Amino acid sequence: MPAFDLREFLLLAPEILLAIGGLALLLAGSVGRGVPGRVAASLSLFFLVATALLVLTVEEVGPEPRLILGSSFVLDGFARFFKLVILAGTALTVLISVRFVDDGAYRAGEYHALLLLATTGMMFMVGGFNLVSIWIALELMALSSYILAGYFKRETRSNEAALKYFVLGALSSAILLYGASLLYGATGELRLDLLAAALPEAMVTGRLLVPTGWLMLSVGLLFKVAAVPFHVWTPDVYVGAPTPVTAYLAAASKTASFAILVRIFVQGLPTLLPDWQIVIAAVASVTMIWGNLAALTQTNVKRMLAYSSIAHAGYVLLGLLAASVIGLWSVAFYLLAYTFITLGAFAMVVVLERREYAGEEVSDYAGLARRAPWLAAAMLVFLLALTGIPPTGGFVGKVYLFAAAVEAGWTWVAVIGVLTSAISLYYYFSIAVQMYLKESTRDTPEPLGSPALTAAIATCVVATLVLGLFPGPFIEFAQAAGLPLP
Amino acid sequence: MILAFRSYALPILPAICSRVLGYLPILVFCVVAVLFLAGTLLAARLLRHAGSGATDREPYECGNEPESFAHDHRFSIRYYLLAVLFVIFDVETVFLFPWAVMFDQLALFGFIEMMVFLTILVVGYVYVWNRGALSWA
Amino acid sequence: MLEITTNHYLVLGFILFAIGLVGLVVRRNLIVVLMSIELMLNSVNLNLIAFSHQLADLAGQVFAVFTITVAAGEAAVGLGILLALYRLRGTTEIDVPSELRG
Repeated sequence: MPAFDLREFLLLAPEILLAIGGLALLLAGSVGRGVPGRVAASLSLFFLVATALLVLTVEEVGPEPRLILGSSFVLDGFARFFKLVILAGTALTVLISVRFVDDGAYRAGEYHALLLLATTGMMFMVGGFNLVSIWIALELMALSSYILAGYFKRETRSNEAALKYFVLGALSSAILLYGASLLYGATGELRLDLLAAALPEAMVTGRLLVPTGWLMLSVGLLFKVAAVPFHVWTPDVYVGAPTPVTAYLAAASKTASFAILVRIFVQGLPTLLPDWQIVIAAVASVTMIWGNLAALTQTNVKRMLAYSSIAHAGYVLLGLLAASVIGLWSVAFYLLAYTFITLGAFAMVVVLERREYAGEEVSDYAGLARRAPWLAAAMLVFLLALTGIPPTGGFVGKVYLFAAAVEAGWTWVAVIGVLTSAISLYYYFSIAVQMYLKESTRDTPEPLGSPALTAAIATCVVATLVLGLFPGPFIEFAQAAGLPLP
Repeated sequence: MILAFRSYALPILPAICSRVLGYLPILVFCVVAVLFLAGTLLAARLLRHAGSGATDREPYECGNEPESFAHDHRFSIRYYLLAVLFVIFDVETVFLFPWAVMFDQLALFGFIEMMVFLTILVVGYVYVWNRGALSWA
Repeated sequence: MLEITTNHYLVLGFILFAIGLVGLVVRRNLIVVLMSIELMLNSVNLNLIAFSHQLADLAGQVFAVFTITVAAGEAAVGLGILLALYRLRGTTEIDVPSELRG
């Protein structure tokens, strides 16, 4: 009987606070006519900030990772870094949701409660050190996001997004779980470090269990990060879901999924490193190529950003492929930068979007530079960052990812990355051309801002530029998120 | 580009090949699975009786004209709602059994854990109640 | 007399998983799709329990209990989405002409 120390719960205070916040909003939102949208948004912002402060103060991180609660969770620099990135992403999502949630005539309390609970799930995910705890946290995130995707339940498009997300998400988690059960059978361990230690022997005794198990586990994880060929759900879900939810899925959900992908591969399956490197190399190349090629033909900005998000998953995989110190921290740094860039880009979609899906086409950006010069300039920054052009965080992140891949001897994958980045210039700049060189017509939607949206866009622009101009401290921050390499 | 590929990729090719061979059984397995499925579907298509249409779709083909279809008597949507709630709350209590059995050994820690768990369940219950999912009218 | 070993359970689990997978891919009625998902998760439970017995390790059974609970939550969310779909479209088939391109 392992002894549990009640004081270990104190170390989980951030997650507990966030869960309490989610439940409180759920209860408050169910009484009578519910809480007004702005109140709910302020409450959830308050809980997110308080949680971030708790992460910074309570979770002291020593040089050695600390296992808590029967080694279900781990406190290390990696978990701390990703928790903060996810909290930042969620806070920005709350800001860009305000007008959307008010417009929709649905209960705001429920929306924010689901957002906070999904974020709780993500925080447990990145801190999970056991296949059981990781899986349950993953499901907490996934179940909340299925409902969020279908939040506009009286609109066909949103409902269809929820449906597709649910069916394919459930499929992927079943596959992931099946793989986990096979690995458990082969090694008898669920804890990542013990699993890693037992793997070499298990590969000899349980011949078919280990390869099938880890392959299925990877399929499940690659589904979650939307890598080709497991990306089929992404475009439809991203287009159909309410835009703030899409932004949340593209930023926070993707970051959390990448975090567990990296943790499971590096800490749980180091023995299979040469095997999974081949798989990751193949998946990363196809993802970069297909994501960028498919984005070329899109005229709907949301769908284009969906394919761009797929392509970016390919770039991030380069860092994992390198499986080196620089590779891992460049993954962390890139996900930090990508969170701000992608949330900013989706915030711009929210600015132009109207009910009945107007304002989502590339041509709706025509003449934006004349009508709203600051917004156009902000969008230009995000487009530069998505392409990977200095002076933005996207450029710095990409350089380190490619450098890591080249250093580890995967030059050909890095070359694909550079070439496809060049392709991406074409479709990102079709938006810039509309904004700066085309004239607006009478049908072009007027940008409709709000203080919260402006704050979100300004934060994203500043963060993107600071990450590009003064990356030093952030790189150190990301370096603290390293995992011990095999 | 080609030079780079040669210098990096060639030395590791034999290693890749031997690694890949280890996964051959899975490939064989997948191929057999697909062939089996295709074979079954094909056999079913070849062997089955070619349907004549309308009467095949009726619930009973025994001469009596069905007066109405089962689909017409829908159950109230509330049954679904109650069934879903029942399934969730019922399954959640699975965790109460281990606690009840090991109550004395789990001591204070187990007690607090269980109270937290039950509180969350009660929050869900109050939510459902407030939203009116439990009232039949 | 045939002795039932762990392998038998694994094969049964695999068959159930494959049936669930095929059902999920082939069937177009969301209720059947939900049943297929349950089937896949239960095949995992079978695996976990069989391994737990073989390894004389309790962790597998604990995992299975958690899987059952999560499966119930998943079914509830799935049914919720199904109800919303039914109210919008009056059908539970998922391949009716869709607004979103594939």
